[in-house]
Amino acid sequence: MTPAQPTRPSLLVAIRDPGNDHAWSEFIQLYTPLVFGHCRRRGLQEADAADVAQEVMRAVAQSIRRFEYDRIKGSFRSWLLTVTRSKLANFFARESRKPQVASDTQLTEWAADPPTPEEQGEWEQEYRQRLFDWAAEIVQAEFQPSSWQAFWRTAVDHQPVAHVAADLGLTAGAVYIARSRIIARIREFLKEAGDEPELPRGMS
Amino acid sequence: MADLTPLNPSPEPVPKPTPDSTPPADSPCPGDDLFRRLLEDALSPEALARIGVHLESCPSCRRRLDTLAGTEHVVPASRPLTDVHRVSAALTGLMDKLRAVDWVRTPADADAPPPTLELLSPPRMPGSLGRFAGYEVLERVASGGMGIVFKANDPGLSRIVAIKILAPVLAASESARARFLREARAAAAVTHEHVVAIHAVGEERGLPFLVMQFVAGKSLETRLRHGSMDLSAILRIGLQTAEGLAAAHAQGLVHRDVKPGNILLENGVERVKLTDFGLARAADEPGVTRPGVVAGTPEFMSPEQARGDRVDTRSDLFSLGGVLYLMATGRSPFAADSTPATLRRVCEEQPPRADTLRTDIPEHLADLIERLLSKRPEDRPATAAEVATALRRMLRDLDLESPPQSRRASDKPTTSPHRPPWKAAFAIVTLALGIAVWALLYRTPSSPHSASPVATQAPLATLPASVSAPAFVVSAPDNMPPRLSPSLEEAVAAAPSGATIELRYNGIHESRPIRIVGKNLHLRAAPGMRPEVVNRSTSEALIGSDSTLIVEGIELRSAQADSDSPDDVPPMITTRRLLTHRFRDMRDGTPAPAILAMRGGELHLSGCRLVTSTRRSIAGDAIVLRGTARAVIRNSELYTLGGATVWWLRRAPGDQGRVEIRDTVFYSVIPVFLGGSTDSGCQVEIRRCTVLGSQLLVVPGTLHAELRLAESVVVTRTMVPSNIDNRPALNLRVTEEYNLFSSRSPVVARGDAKGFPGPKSAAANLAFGDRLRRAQERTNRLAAWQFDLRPEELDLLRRAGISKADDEPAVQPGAPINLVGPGDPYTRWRQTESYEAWSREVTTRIQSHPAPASTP
Repeated sequence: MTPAQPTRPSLLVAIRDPGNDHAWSEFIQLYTPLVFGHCRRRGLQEADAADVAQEVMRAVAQSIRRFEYDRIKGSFRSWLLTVTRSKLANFFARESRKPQVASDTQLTEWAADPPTPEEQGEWEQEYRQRLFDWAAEIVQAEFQPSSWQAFWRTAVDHQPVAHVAADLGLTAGAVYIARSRIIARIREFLKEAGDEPELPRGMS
Repeated sequence: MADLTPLNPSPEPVPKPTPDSTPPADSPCPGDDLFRRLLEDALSPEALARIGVHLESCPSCRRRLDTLAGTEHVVPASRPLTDVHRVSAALTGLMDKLRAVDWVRTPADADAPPPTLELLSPPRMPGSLGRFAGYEVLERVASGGMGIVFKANDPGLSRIVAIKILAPVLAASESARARFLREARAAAAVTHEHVVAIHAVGEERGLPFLVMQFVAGKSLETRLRHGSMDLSAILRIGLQTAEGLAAAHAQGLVHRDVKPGNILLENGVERVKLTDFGLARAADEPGVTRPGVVAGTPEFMSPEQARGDRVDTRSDLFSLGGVLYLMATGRSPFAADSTPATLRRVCEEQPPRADTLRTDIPEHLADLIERLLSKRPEDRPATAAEVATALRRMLRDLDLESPPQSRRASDKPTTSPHRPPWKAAFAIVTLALGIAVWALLYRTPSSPHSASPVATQAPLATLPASVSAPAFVVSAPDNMPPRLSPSLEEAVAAAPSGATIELRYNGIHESRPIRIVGKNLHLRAAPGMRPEVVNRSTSEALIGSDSTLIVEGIELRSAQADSDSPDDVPPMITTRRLLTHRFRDMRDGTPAPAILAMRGGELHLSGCRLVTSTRRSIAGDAIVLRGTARAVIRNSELYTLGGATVWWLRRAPGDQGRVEIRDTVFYSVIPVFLGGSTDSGCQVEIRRCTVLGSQLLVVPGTLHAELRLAESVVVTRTMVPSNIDNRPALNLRVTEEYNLFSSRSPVVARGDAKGFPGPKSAAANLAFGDRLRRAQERTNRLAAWQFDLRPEELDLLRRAGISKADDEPAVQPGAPINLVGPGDPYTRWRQTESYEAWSREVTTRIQSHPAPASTP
């Protein structure tokens, strides 16, 4: 099977091309679950999280088109956190089913404040996990389902090797081998994809 | 024994495995080079097999291989967040939408307000957002690439309609506009029970629109997200869609966009209503859409449509085949990651037969779907009527071969044949609760302004033969002769500290706000009576006290509880500090008085019902405690739809609050709100309660708060124990045991919110709550908690002492509903031992504790 080609480093450039459906699709694939998951952990229910994530993705896409994000210092992912927080603040302000609780001013201040170190740490963890999941989603097609199961259940779900091996009809040795090969492949994929899609220079 | 090889090895360096350092294995250790080649997939199967055998007996080689693979750096060390990442219909739906729809890249300004309101002229009707072409627009129902759909009132005919307005970006094209109008007019000619009727077609300020029958219900697309469908539903929906298509085809109309989103299912009977005939054509406009982008969702397009060839009615049949396939198998036959890939699959690929994917799909149906999905139109059935006939025959066969009962059983997503007793117990609690809430919310409003007592809610059994005028009997421990007063205000004024005031009437007594300063009082319903006190003021708390207050068996209500309009609430008055609890509703600035306001002192509440509002839009709190105030609430009902049930506020540095709520049902936006700062604290215990709300506990700021939650059923939108702005509540400590959660969002332990409800049970609670919620969504009834349990959920219950096999669960979470609230439940609660104990304790407290000095 052809190994999937990581396209992420060029993603932010590629999605500026309105004709590049593939880049857009990939961008959605990578970042939407990250934003959605973040909103869910902020206590939003699924439908609300989807609404906010949609606003975030739209704002991001449009800003990228208008090259606005170049003005933002720092990495794309910290800018994405900024956008997400601001849309969340809008959401909470709109969602005044929690009357009397916080004034709009407080929310605005929260959104205007830079993220706290805890928030950043949490976001970083979410981002790492999303990268891993994303890579896993893509490289999964390259492996036999049983190998994949062997990897996922022992390495991610931390199930006992003997149990998984028996379940899948593999030897324990085969489970070790499958697991390490898939991990190595994910590592390779992530390495090629780059740790962070750098903002293109000189485009502002 | 299971292999427990650590995946994230400890930091100490792993010695390079050598035969010396490794316990005897069957073969020598392979070494790094061989491992690297293994990881690159460069080894023969034989070599792999040998290494596999070696790995099984050599832990150090296993560690080495993990290190070389990079396990530690690649696999996230822990996945505490996995649960919210799991595949969710909302997320996949959103991603599909983002991918498929072109609006993301339309040049509209992200920060500009949605164009919705700009389209409208000022409203003439209350509740209307504005007018469009003479219709009063009530709400936006949907918006997408094609346009916006509003729900509106047709003032001429006083009926509710749906108005679809072509998106301005499309309306800018003359030919798109012309097509929209032409297609809409053609569709208006179709009258059929399975086609949405078009009432009018027109143009307003350059925007073409059509006015349609408003269908209360959901689309098949939404329906499919809620789980698979049984065969009879597939056949029925397929049949009705085919009949609707046949009617349109008879008029020479091609739909062009048959897809689940355009098949509406009316509420209740799930009757099919096809919508959006021919409209896809308006969007299919060169220059409006980008080249190579096809308007609409391509998954259900026919190959000829995907290629841009001429289409006829048989194109709709292909799409119908796709819809049937999706209903039958849960998969869209040609879905792919991108539009071009989808279109390619539509034109080239043959999906696997439906009966290979789902066993109960009859061969006839799979045959029919296969024929409908033929690439060449001439290989498909000739007409929609023919398809309808085939489906009708299958439906009849199905009816003949299986009795309706067993079909209905198979329709349910659950597989458990009977409900275990504990489930029944929950269902009863919840049902009872649902009824209580329902009764409260939907009963005919009684007139709060009538001065004479009206027996409205007293159960028949407690009503005397004739309704008495309100009487308040004041008795005191010092053998003072009982004294009769006609009003609560007067009785309170006359009562010495430590006195009991018995309310001897059924029905409503209206009262001005009462201020109790410097004396302990006990307000109690007379045996068998069910008195209510309604606050005549809409700006001050009904009862304010700075001492110990006991309230038993009484319903206390805000005057505006039944009000239909927030305009009834007069402007805020700021006279008496103690009584005026003024927190304005954030949205409309209306004052939000509490029912009971305690400034210090103690409040004991039992067998009561407190209602501040039956409308979510009116904020008002049930109980507001200030400073060191303490509240103990037993066997009561508290409904504060727009506010908090219990609100504790710090008044001075060092303030410590305490709130105990037991055997109580409460329903509010925020059941418990604690406000303070670092130098103050509050302890909250909630035990055997049933809580409905938006957010269980809100702790803004940094006060030291402790929440103990036990044996309760908690149904909330979210359970994040933190501030509204979602900063972690830093000094919050939560312990919970034996609860059932049904939350619309996960239980999340954040910041130092230790143990809420513990890192391990958080996931279990989450999964459990989610499954409850899903079951609830499927049936749309709170009471019908029917679901399959997964092993970890069973385990959760087992640890909670609830055994699936036992008849009597050890713990039955939730409030004992028949002992909760005034009237009969209060009478029953009085006969229990726990009432005896409670009563002894509180009586001692008001009689032995001196009342504090009167506050200035």
